[in-house]
Amino acid sequence: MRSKFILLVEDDQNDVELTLRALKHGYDGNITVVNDGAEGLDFLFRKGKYADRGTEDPGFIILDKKMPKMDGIELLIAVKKDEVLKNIPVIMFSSSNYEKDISDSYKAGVNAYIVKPINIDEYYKAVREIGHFWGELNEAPSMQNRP
Amino acid sequence: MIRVYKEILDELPSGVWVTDREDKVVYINKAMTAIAGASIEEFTGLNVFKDMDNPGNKEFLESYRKVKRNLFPGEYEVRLKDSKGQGFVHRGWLTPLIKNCFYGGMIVTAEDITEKDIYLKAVKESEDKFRRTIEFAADGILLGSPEGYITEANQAVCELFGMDKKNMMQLHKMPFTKESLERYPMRFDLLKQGKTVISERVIKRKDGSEIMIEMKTKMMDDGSYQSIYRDITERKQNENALKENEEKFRTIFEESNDAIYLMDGDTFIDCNEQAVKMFECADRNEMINHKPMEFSPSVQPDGSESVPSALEHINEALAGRQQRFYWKHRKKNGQDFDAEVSLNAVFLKGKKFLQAIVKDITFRMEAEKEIKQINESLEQKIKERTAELEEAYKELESFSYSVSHDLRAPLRHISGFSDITRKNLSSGNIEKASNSLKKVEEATEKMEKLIDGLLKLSRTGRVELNMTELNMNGIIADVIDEYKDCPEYNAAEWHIRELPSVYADRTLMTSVWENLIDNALKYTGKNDDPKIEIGCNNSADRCEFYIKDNGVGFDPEFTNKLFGVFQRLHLDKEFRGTGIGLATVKRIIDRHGGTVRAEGETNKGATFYFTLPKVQGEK
Repeated sequence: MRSKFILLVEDDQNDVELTLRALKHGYDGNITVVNDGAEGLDFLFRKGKYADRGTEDPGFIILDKKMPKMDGIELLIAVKKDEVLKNIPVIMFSSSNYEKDISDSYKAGVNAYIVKPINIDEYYKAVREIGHFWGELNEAPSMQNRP
Repeated sequence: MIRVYKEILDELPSGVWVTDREDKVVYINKAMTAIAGASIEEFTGLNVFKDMDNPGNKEFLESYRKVKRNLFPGEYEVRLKDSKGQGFVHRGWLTPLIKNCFYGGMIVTAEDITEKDIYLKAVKESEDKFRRTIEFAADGILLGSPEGYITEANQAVCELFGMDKKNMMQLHKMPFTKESLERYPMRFDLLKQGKTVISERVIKRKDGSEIMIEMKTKMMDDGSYQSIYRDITERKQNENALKENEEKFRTIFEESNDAIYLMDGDTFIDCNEQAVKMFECADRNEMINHKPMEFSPSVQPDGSESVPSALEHINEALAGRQQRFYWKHRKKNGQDFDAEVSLNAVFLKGKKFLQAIVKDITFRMEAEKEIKQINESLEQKIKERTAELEEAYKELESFSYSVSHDLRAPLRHISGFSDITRKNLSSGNIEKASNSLKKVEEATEKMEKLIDGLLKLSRTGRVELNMTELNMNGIIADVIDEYKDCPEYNAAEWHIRELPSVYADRTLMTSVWENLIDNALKYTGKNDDPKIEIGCNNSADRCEFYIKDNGVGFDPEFTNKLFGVFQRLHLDKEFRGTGIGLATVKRIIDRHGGTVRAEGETNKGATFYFTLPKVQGEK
């Protein structure tokens, strides 16, 4: 079975590169990268440059917390407010181990919160485990009932 | 001739009888028969010694014998009881008849003095009684002769003077103190007119003590004096105490700092001087017989009408419930003032009155108001300070957030791209290795910038402001000078207007312009015809500086994030930055008491404004 489609919302190009590198071997699902919350929202709601994108919706979202314009929590809130999108698991993947960020995320309905490790091996390991668990093991409700 | 005399004798009102040489009654007149209680016939012929020798006549017989022997007139008195047991007295005079140098009989004239005797006795008894009364009278009584000698002094007067009766009677000069005599001199003039003179004297007693007396003196018709003395020491002391008390209360009443007035119902009947002063009247007459309503506005500050409200207090006080309340009073000149009134019912001569004490509490009210204002401003200050502290706390939070977040990212990148470099090297891919090593370098630079920026930001909050007059154009010229060699600087079209001088901290203000100019250059860097304009909108109380560019601008939806610490509206790959610059600008302007704002649109440029308050004297 093919791994699930990942929407990676990340403004930092270096982090994008490292994350993609971690998933390069062993993860066979599609990965779309958007650079901030506002772009992520456009993608999910098919707005702006994503108005004509394909029908497939992501199986889960890896979300950076701190981004320009709309940050991760704002995007999370928008997703969890939407009757259909709220079923998509959202994994907050952030540099911040700040208690407030963690509790704010859970209040907004995040499905998991993982702190980006500084050590690169641990970082790769964390990304792969996210991919393995949320992209392969976890089952989420079908997105076909979109109104 | 003899017959004529006999007839006279017979009708004489006095009793007359005559004896001869042998003492035999030879004549008795009619009056004598009434005294003797016997008829002429029964009496005539009686022998004095033989027929009249009875105990009742003892004195008569002795006197008779004495006159007969001495041939010198004598008298006698006889006290007898008649047949009915009624006592009577008669008095007689014996005159011997001398014939040829020898005793020739006796002429006895007699008078019934029974009534006179009773009268004299009564007089004596009355005198005794009077004397006793005088003697035991509580008041001292002194009688004096016209010549000034004391003729009578009773026990009480002796006690008053502290002397015994003997000494008292020999007193020539009354022991009055000089002061009391000077105060009440003897009014002989009044005494001579028969008037009773009342005077007060201080007696210096024999033992040296002094007592105060009231003396009532009257001169009798014969020139003698009567004086009645009464000890009034205690009464005087009481009177003095009363007087002192009254004076004391008068003083309290008059000298009080509070207005005090008495009311009969709702009408003033008396007031003190302070009341006159407080209500600014000319004198008491402007208050007495007037009503408190004339000295009150028609409506009290709480909205209640003065008349019914005052009457309620008056009735409550009259019912015995002391009233103490705030009242707006009105002076005679119409000026209102704040007062505290206490109302009390008082009884004077059996009638109920109201006593009011009015305290002018204008100053107290003002002080209370001031205290309230101070408290309010204190509260406001606390609120402001709390907000400041909250702001500071928020910044501190952002700070620690940056440590946990923004500093981690470059570290992770250093770690990640070092690893990639190693792998590229081991696989012999030098070009890739070089690229990833460049990223390590960039991450290091980024980290250095972050640390620098954080230090600058934290310093702007801590340094003491050194306010001096600054030439803004000069500062801007200095800042721009640093970019002289940058291609961005030379590419841009600069418009720098004439700027006013301001009072600000030079170092911090330089930092403000550095950040703003750096931003303007950065975000116009991709333009074909970059334009940067710096100017100032002057207003009465502040200067608003601005820097306007025609760069990439920003989405106005996110304006509120511009000045936040570590907030960025652009991706690092588009425009490098730390997210600290505008936060630093905001903090510096905040510290100078100004404000910051920004206007912009995506791809249509941005304008950043900041204001600085004008200092006094500045045009």
